[in-house]
Amino acid sequence: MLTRRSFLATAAAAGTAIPGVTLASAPGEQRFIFIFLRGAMDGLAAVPPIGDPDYAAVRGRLAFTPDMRALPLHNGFALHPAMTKAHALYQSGELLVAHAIAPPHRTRSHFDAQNILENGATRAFARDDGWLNRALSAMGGDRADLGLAIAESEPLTMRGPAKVAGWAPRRVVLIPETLSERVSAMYAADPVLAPAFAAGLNAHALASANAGSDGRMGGARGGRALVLAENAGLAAEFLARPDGPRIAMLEGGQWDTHAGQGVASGRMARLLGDLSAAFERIKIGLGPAWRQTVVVAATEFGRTARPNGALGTDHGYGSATFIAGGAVNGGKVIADWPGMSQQMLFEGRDLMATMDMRALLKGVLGDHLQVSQQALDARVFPESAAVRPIFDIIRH
Amino acid sequence: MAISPSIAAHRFGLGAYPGELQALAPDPAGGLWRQTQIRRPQADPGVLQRALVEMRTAATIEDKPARQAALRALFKGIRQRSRTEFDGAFATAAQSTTPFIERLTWFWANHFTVSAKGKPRVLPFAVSFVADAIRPHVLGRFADMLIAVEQHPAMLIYLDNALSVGPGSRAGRNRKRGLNENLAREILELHTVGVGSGYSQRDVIELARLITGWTVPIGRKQSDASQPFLFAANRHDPGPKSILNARYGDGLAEGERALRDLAIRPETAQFLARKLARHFIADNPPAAAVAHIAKRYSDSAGDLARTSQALIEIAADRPEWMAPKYRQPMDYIAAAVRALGPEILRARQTLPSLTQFGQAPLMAGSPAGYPDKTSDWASPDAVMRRLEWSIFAAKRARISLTPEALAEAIFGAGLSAESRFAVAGAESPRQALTLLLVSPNFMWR
Repeated sequence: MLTRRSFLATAAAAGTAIPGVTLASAPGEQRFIFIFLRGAMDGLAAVPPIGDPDYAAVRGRLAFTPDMRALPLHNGFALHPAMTKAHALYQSGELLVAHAIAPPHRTRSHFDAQNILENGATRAFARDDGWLNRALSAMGGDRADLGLAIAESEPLTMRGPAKVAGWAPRRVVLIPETLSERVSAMYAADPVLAPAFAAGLNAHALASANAGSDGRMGGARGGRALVLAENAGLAAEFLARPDGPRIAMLEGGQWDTHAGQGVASGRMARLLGDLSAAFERIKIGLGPAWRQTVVVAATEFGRTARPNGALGTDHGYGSATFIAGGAVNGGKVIADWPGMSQQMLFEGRDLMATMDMRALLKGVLGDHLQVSQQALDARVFPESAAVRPIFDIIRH
Repeated sequence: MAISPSIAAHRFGLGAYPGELQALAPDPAGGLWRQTQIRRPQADPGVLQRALVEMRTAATIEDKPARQAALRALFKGIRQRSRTEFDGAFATAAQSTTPFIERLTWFWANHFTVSAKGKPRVLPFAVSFVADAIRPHVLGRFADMLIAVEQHPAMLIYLDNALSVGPGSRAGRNRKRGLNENLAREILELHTVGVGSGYSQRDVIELARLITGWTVPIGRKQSDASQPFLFAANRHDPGPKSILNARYGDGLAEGERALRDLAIRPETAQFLARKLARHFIADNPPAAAVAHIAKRYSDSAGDLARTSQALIEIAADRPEWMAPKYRQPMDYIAAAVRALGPEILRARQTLPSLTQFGQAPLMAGSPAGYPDKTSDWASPDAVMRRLEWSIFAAKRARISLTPEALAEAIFGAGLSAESRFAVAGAESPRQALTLLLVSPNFMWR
């Protein structure tokens, strides 16, 4: 097991490293995808700390037993057996796992916690723009159309001054120019509809160019199978284009597993299998651009360490975050592991969070997207100068 | 008191059909007021009864493979049936002669969201949930709605209370099952006092203990399926409970007393008033508007008819407190049906259309329901979807008036110069109707 002491030693060494500059590619070629796992993913189910001495007793009937073949990681951690594709990435050094991590809050409200993970501040509903939009603004450059949100409605993470195209997979409908011109003219004086329609028309043109002969995008086709993976494949299609967007956000839901979440099979296995497949779809869809890509999949908080009465888990605190991509310095688990003993559980019930989500995101945005330290400290994550970025996430 | 016919029809109703503005013109506020006098809009308990009996019949088949096959077939049937049922219910609602009551019903159904997303077991009860737990109470007492909601099978299943077992109860000691705090948390956070109003994790757990045993009689061993709600005393956690400094004992009546206490707390008045004001008055309603509604709620001990009347008063007396509201997808399609006729909806396509617009009925992504601000619905993608939908809706419309005359009839004096110019300058009648459907007048109410 990685102890608190050994982690601190690693972190101290990493802290002295100079934030890297990626030399392998021209500026503006870096891709970043943020996957929001809404509903609070159970980090102890996704990345079970099977080497922790208290794990089996605390997890009880939700604990992995050796016959369930959890996929081994380093330092006593393992990956859920449904995540074989993610495990392959881990083995080739393209997947990093951060554990015992949470956004800066201790609320057990989905809506407050999701809002904080999206707005990048430390208080819910403190802002009406999101950290990824502010990062887009801070990146500068000569292209204003770098952002893409694949979601039913524009998520807060992506709202703000920088223009972001929105897209949800569906059949592309032909819109005659004689119609779109009249709509634009009709909306000219409307401060909400005018910019929305202009951005929508852009995304529509891009999608029409991407669509196959039957007008259907490679997106989710309904049903329960691999919804996130389908949307991830769609995002990769967009990001692979030379003139396409570079920063995308996806959302996956259904993680609020209050009842019957399963262990090696069942509901969590399906969700995690979908997430695992999403990483692979992105890698395949991006082709050579995968080398310049980082994907972060994070959730608003973790769940109770112990099972509840319905063999599910209730709202908790620390969870796990996945960082995948060809640009990731992966193949390891980073954690200031608090342990699962009764006195180390947060309020005696949840995995403690010992890492601030902002530290991880600042490390990625700084090293991978070259967002300046100053912008990260003050604007992207307001008043966060005391939260030091984690520096060794990106391959140098 | 003076409200324009346009505000009565569009802001408080579901839109106007041709001729409706003239019909409302003599007394628009009075028309709204009269709707609030209907104390108990009709419910239909038949739907719930049928769902319960069907579920129980399938769930009590002894042979496991046969039972699973029966449940699968049942859910498949219910999914297909619900499309047709929803089409019918939506078309009826859209053409209602009491559209304010429909709006209130939709508002409260969203406040108390149940969703079959990821929980198909909710679906058989979801239609009944609105008909039986919401609609009869939208002009009654909030406390009655609250109790009807928290004891309805849809909610008990959706937020897992049907599975919750008191650790100190007989069932808890025997079967090593435990507390599920999901419903109790959302009662405090979303249904009554609201998040940030000062309750603690302790209060959540105490309330969860107090409502242990509130469940649904569809398990294999329970016998009486004629009652939709079951209080299973053997799961009820014994001992004193304290919620927001009020003390409660054991039993069903104590749980109901706790809900009645929560219903009349000032934090609840404030939380509900803000949501109502956001829905009917402005995205960011002035504090005075919220205070006016909250005061009426508190003064009337949570009488929702009186509380709804406060909204009409604000529209009549304080128009400066109002700001344009962006139509949500349900309201948008309803307004289109009202203006252009039900022919624009293809059979069995209302539900898929709403899903495309991101407001799938009974399928919200979280118990918080669908959001209620312009920024939640006016994304680039959402605006494009309305245009795409309108292209097809306009194709199916059968209109006797010219598009210009129709626009005049629907919006009256409120028709904007931009909308009028676009409709008049279209290259064909069909394009004119498309432009009318996506005009700023149609988006903003």
